[in-house]
Amino acid sequence: MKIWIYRDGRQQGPFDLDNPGDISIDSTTPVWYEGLDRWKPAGLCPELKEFLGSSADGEKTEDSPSAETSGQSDKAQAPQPGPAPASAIGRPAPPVASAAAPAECPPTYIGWSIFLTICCCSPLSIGALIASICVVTAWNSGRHSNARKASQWAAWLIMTAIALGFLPMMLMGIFMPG
Amino acid sequence: MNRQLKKNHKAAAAALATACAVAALIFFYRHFNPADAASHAPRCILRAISGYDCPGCGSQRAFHAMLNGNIAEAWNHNAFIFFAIPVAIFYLLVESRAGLRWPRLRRIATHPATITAITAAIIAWWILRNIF
Repeated sequence: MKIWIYRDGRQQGPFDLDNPGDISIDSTTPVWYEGLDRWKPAGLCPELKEFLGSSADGEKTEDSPSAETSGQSDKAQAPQPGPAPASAIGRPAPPVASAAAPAECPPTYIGWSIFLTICCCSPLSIGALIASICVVTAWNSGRHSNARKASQWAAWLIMTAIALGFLPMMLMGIFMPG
Repeated sequence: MNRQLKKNHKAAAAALATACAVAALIFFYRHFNPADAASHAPRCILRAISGYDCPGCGSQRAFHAMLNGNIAEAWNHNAFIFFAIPVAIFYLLVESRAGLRWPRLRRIATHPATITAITAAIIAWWILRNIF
């Protein structure tokens, strides 16, 4: 049986209950699997009883949203498992408000920028770092589409830095050494 | 299941390719001195144009020295890489899927003030190494 869980502020899964090694839930973790009409605390699901075992009285985690208060989803929004959980329709969306469960901040590519600085591509990698500042600033102030745009800018600057910086450097090393 | 398997194969192929590339770079920089024209190592375009060192200049010589055990010499060629490489690896991990496990660390690492400090440090290093 496949289950989805809600932990650390985001939806995770699907996990296979037959292979429970990588699932970590307690009785308060919101879960969903086929057959439930909405997300429920794992402790209220009879199917999970033996899985929870002795830890069924686990303490509440502070950042997991209460599944009790989030039961307003209608049937149409109910999560549907499928072979492609990443697609928007097939993905089981937690019925909590999006403010309580924000998506992840888009990538800033800072690691790549720093590597490119080492590889003598500084001007563009500093541009990419400034773009990553824009990503986080925009994301923190709620302008999510701006953040995504800035993230794309950072990615493009990094690719341009590789094309305009690194490749000519190699060509110069090969044809004009010393 | 099949999908998961394909994903695993892709990840394994990427890991293998990365390992091969790193091994090739280590081999090259251990056996060839990039200061030597005969090595045909990449050359910094910025320095060729302006004559000034960029923040990354000397990193190839530093790798060569480091891989041959001369840490002090590596530090003299480019001290910045001793900080930059660990920091870059840290950020690649923080922004990977593994980083999702530590949302607090991720928030601190990608805080605008942190990124500004890194950018300022790079620019300061760039200026200072050309003065002293």
